Amino acid sequence: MTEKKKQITINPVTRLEGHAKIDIFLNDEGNVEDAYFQVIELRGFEKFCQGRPAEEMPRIAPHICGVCPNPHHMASGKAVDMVFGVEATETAKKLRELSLCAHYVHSHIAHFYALAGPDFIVGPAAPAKDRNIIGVINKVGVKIGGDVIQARAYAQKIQAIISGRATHPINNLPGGLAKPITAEEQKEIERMSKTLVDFGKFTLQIFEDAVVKNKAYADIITGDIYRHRTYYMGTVDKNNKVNFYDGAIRVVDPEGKEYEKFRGEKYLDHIAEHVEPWTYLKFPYLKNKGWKGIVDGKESGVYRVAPLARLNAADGMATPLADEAYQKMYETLGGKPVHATLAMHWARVIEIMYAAERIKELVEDPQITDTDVRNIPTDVVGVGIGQVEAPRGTLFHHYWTDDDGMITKLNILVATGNNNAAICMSVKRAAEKLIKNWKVDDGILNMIEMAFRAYDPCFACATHTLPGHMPLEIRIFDSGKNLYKTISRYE
Amino acid sequence: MNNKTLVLGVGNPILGDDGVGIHAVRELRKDAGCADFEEAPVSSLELVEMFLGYEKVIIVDAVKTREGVPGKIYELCGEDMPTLHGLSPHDVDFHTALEYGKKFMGQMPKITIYGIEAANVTDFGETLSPKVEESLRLVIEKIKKEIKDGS
Repeated sequence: MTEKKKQITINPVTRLEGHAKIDIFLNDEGNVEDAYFQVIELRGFEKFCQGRPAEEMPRIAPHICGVCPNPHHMASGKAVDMVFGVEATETAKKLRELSLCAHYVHSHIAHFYALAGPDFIVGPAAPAKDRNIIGVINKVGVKIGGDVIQARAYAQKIQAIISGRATHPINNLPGGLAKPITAEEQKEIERMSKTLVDFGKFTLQIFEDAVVKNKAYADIITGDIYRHRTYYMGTVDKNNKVNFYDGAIRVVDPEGKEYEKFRGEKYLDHIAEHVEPWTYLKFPYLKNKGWKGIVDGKESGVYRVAPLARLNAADGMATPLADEAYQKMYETLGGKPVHATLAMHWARVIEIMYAAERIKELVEDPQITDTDVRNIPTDVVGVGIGQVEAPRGTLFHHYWTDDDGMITKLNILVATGNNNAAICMSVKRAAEKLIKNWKVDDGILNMIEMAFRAYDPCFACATHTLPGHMPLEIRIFDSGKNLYKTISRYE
Repeated sequence: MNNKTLVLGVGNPILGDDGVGIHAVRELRKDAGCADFEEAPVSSLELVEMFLGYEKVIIVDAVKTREGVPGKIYELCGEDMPTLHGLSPHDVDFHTALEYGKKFMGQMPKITIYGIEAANVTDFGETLSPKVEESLRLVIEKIKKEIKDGS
């Protein structure tokens, strides 16, 4: 036992202040008792914002995160519309949605080709040197490398045209946008949208050929290791089809039946947050079900967001090719809802298709070049709630201001926060499978990464790119809370 | 894009020392001459995609090493990655992104990286800590000279 309690550290030479830390506690038999997933805390955002004019929030909020700046810009734009008691014009709403869809294309492509692809196209058993985006592209065809770069560049260009900057957009103002798009810009976006639709079709085909038709991969997706029967949340339009920018929030139960449907502004009536002492990240849950712990099932208030949840919560996609792919996914996986976490990857490529088709649809709308892109506010209401779907799930911005429209308080509920309990469950499930009687399988690192990577989580992180790897460390403790083993991603 | 050299400031401008790279390009673009200057609050793939068409890229970023002394300056080339903090799980690592760039975007530029050891990267704020501010001045001078010499 003495030997077993010894700390075993696997070359944590480059271990730094990590953004993700996993602590696993074992019982007396050396099996998993509990698993805790923690992320680093960034402090002082509320204080940073207090006293600033609310209309600055759409430009500040995207800096919360380098991964999903556009959805923060959009949620913030909607929140400040409400703070000043004014709605965006119809054209402004369409342009905001168009920009958000372009962000989806950009974000989901990176995820599918660079992050999911190594597991599902190259394969989990392939040599480590091939398990990356280069291996993925080598396998699907080298020409695709250029197509991936072009599609991402187009998606960035569209955001830059509409929102002023690709990465940290600036165009939203209370009541709409600072500037419309010109007829030339409309033509340019229309031209690019056709390429994106083709790229969406192509990506769906790759998914089908490389993943769906490969029994081994299909088995990984549908296997029980990451399966959780939970509630699902997503935003739907008036026909209950997926929409990223606006609509009603719909929640379905683990049987797929509508449980709740409400406007984003009413989120506090439906979502509450549970606090655990071991993490600063709160655990949102369905208020009307109550908090029953980090457990799944119909009696638990735990719900999930992100692509699969959005598709589960809707009745279909609002564009034809995406809807066709949607129907096919549910037929293949045995109907709705799908509880297999790794099917998130399939849902994500369906959303690439939808986003591309929706961009084309919106840019071909004759109203899109209207110059009427702003309703000038004349009042300060003092409270605003903005909600959109970020690629990684439902996102809420809630601001309070004084009579002059200066921020006094804010609450931001991010997509990954919504998935916190689910990510913890997936991590624990992987740990239980791979730790038996004191034997810790080193494959646990990849299995755990696969679990939380499916959610494409965003840890409100800084945007650093230079470290070799995401600093992930797994610490395993015995029943006496002594450190038993440490596994770091670094070699 | 009119120049052959691109200076990229990487980081988050409202997250304390994490924004040191952004502070650098904001300062450099005032009078450093013949180069393009971009704020790059982005991650690996997107960062590498910004290299397209340049012969030389200079990156300024915050560094966080295990026992690092705030303000310490690291000068590295593209192949020689230091131990810096934080990377989103949404992205690949910088090495992979560079390989991707080499393979699918043609010739990659010569890359120089200036890393400055950060003190605070977890508290929101627009100012730098004193040691980091001091080192930023030195790095700015080095980059100005590098641009001027065309080295």
